[in-house]
Amino acid sequence: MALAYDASSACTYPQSSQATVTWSHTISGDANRVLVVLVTAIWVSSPERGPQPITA
Amino acid sequence: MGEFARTWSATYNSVAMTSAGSFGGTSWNTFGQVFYLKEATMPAAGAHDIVVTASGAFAGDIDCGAVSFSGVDQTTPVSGYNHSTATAVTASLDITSATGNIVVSTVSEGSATATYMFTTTGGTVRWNRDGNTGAPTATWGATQTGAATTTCGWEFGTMQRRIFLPVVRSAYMTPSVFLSTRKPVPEV
Repeated sequence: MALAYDASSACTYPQSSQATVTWSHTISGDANRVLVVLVTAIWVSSPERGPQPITA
Repeated sequence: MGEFARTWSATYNSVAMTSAGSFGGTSWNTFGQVFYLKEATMPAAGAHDIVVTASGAFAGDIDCGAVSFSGVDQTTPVSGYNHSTATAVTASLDITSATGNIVVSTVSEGSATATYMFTTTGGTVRWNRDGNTGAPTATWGATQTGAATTTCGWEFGTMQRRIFLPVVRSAYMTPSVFLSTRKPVPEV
């Protein structure tokens, strides 16, 4: 069986200032599966964020 | 280290996942980690929860993505890892992989200015949570075909219908890029 992409998912906003993040991922029933989860945590102070955009 | 002294863990269907690598530090106020789960402890087909947990309260923003594959070599399913940080509208990172691998990359942006992101190296975007949601951060993930050395490149921009105040923001772009390669199961 050849290596194949099955599915992807991502956490939803808001996930700020939380110690736990939960979301759902649908796994296939194929053989030799692997799930990879990639986590990024960022802390940005308000001055670094700059002004917020104005939506037209 | 402050917020980034935390340790992180992940579960899928309440089963602990294995870490494939991590980085963190105060220079960019970013942290990242890659986890994986193999067939031996994988649940039956269907929807199950992924839970990512920090060892203590975290005041920053957490972005997570997941991608699943089949036909994976179960001996070394994730065979590489790399990361970078940058403050530019583009990000690029090389990782040693091999023909037949699939390379997974993710990029997150911490100033909430990016309203779209695209790969510059032929990747297929697999998840997208852009800055239009009002989220404090934005994140994208992609897969692409592996080679002996695979370059993963990203570039971000803003939607034209949005009007930004005439202040040049310090581009706090691309706090992290994670890459993992995975070997295929040999054809029988």
